[in-house]
Amino acid sequence: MSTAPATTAPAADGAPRAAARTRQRWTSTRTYINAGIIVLWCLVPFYWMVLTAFRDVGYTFDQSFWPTHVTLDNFVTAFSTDLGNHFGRSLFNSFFIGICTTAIGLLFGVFAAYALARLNFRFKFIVLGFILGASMFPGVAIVTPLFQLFTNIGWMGTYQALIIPDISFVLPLTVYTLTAFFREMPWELEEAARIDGCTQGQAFRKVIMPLAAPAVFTTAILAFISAWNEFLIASQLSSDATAPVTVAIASFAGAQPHQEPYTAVMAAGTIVTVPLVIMVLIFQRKIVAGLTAGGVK
Amino acid sequence: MSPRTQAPPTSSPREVRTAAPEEADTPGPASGSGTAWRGPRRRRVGLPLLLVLPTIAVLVGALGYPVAWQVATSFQEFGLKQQFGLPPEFVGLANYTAIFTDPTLWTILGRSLLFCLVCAFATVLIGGLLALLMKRVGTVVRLVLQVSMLLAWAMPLVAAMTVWVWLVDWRRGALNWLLTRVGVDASGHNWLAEPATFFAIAAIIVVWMSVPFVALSLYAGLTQIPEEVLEAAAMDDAAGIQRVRLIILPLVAPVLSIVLLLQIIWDLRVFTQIKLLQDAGGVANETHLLGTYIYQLGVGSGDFGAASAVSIVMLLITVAVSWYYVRSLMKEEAA
Repeated sequence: MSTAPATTAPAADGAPRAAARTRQRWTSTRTYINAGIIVLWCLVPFYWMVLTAFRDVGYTFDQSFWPTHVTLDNFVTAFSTDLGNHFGRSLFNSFFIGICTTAIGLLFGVFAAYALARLNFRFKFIVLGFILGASMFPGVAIVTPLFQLFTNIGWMGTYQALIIPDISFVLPLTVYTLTAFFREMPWELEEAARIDGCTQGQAFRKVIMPLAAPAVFTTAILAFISAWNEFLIASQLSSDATAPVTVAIASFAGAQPHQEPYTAVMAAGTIVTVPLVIMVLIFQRKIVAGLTAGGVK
Repeated sequence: MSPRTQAPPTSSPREVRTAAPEEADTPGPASGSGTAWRGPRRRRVGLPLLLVLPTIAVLVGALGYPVAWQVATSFQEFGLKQQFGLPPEFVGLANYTAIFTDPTLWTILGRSLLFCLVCAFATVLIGGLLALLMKRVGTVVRLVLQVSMLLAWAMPLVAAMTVWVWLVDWRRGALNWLLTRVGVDASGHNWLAEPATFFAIAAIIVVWMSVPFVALSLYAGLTQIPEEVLEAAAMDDAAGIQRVRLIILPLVAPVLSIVLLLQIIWDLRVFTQIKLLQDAGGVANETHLLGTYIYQLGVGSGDFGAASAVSIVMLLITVAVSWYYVRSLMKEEAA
């Protein structure tokens, strides 16, 4: 695949081609070695987490890089309501918060990005600056005032108290990535569709959206992951009933008292990562499909 | 979830809004053809603002009060007493003079900026190389790369930090164990105790967490480059680096600059990673960055006035740092 441009190029004379081919072979070997190193770097912490999740508590600090003392007890501990780990409920909370945040953030983000990338209007710069500015305020500085505000209006521990700040964190990101994509779109197609009798909305929906699908799906994943992983706000503003998994993991209790429940935390971490992996694999196919659709242009 | 089901609301409110004046403006036979090709200029007054309105509303709703509160509090004496109901006292610029005359702030400021720039540029560099790599390998390898990056990124922060802290732990960490096996005597060395190695480890973790986003965004940007351009460049036998610098870089510049900007903003306000590393054995006073400093001032020692002042300073720095990008973005817009 890496040599695709050369193989599709029209055949040239023999000798330089052979030299080029060996050079290319070496380049592609090097490429794969680099790929391997990066995969390793990305995966070591993940691998370590899964490894420990299946390891017996008694052997928590076993340094072996291979599975030893394999057990499922840690997963039982993670879900054990007797120990006060309401992990099932917090999984639901995380899903609920993540899906609401992603859906609303993406919906609003697509609107705003379309306006910013495609339309000219007077307050555009102010809007751009405002959205960017919104992503600049440090999260630590938001927690205390939000805590007071939500206490005053009786929102403490409710879902909206977690979802609204999450959307505000996700929105600048979605607007900016989508704006960047929309700007690169072949808008002549939209014009063409309009000449063919589509309204602007139809042209956007039927012509531009399919082309923008990979960008939208990528952005959806970004938004969901960032909501799924949010910790700071949730740790201060959620109650036991609405706590997402990040908070639940941080306050985990292990099977043995007076011992950091490392293995249970790792088991919980593994469970938390699994939905994302599944989602990524599903979206992956859509992204690839979207990419090939975009290639037709 | 699907964008297609989200799209209808875009059209319907606008249809309602614009149809009325359109009909009023051009009565008679013209209105039929007007539906197919309605003057784009006329409708651009209300529609764009209508489209950005939800975003603005959410941002104002969620951030308006906190920002206003921080600005107000930064001019007030606001300690633990005020948290329990005593009305705060207006003290003018006292909080600002207090923090600016304290050398601690300047040290932390310099440290934060350095850390942020190193992390942001390292992230974008590695992410960019990765994106190029993904463009060159086959579908299967690319999938493996993408999935492993997404795994690194999807790992919940708390779990990821637990693993990292554990990997570098001085008694039972895999890092020291490996180094000892390779022949470097590192057993019992606490990497988190020294500020220099503390920040090196923090940087590795922060970069590890943010590379996937950058790499995937840039890769998506690369896929927007027409294949013919790359093929032409390859046929002209442009060397790899030249090809990147002269052809690819200008084409992905919009995505690249946004990604770098977001990275700088995020790395400047990094909090959780530093906090958890400090808890795991760092010397807090020597390893504060702006985020943890604000936390320590406010939640830690109850001086919310000073904490707010530092927050405002931090906001202004972020605005200053990103000013150049905002300017260039706007110029691009104007062009």
